[in-house]
Amino acid sequence: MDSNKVDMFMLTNSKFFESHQLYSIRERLVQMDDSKWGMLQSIQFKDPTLSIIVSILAGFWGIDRFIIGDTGLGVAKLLTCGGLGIWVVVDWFLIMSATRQKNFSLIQQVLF
Amino acid sequence: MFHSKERFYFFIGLGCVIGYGWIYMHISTLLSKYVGSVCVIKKISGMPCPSCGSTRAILALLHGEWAQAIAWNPIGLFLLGGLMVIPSWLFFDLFSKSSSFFDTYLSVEQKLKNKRILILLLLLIGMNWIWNIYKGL
Repeated sequence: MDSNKVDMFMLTNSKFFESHQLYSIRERLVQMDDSKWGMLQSIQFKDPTLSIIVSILAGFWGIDRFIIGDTGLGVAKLLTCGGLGIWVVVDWFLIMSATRQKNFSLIQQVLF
Repeated sequence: MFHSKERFYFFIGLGCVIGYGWIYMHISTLLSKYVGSVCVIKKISGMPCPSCGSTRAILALLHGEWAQAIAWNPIGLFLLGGLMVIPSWLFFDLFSKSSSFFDTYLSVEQKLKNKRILILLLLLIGMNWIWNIYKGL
């Protein structure tokens, strides 16, 4: 794929991924066929900033886990009153990384 | 969330240990005076959360009072059931080197991605929540 296009994509979407994943994503995108561009554009990445805000405000109901797609964990968090409050606090530190990991899994489905 | 099976088993095991510790704190004569409500929602708004009363339900179950347990919160039954089944399952997987629990979790999560099942489940939890508010837990 055209490197300008790739750079543009990386510039707008880098916040959705862990910094150590960026290099491999870029490499893959350069090698990728142009026909996959449309599919790549249609992926809806989850915003890590939004998930941390939701985690702080509604972590006790597990909404943060629901929005990143961890439905099973969301239900578990909801039923245990946020893991007796411990899980809620742990998730304040984990949720951004978990969101980025989810985004990486999403982009991997197109890239690999 | 779980990039590896080991990490999944570690967190689930830790959750069970905390769950048992929490129940023990309520049973122990020494520690029970130090435990109270951990529900921030209830502390802030005065309104119970969907899982409020689960600990009391579990304690009632341990005394064999089934009806009382359901009256407190039916979620307590599932939590105690989980606390009894999950550790044995984890040990089984650990010793037989299988991943049956992890596979089951993944298939349950896949089923929950079905909007109808999820909405039905959330509706049940919501109704239970309304009941909690009505009971004034």
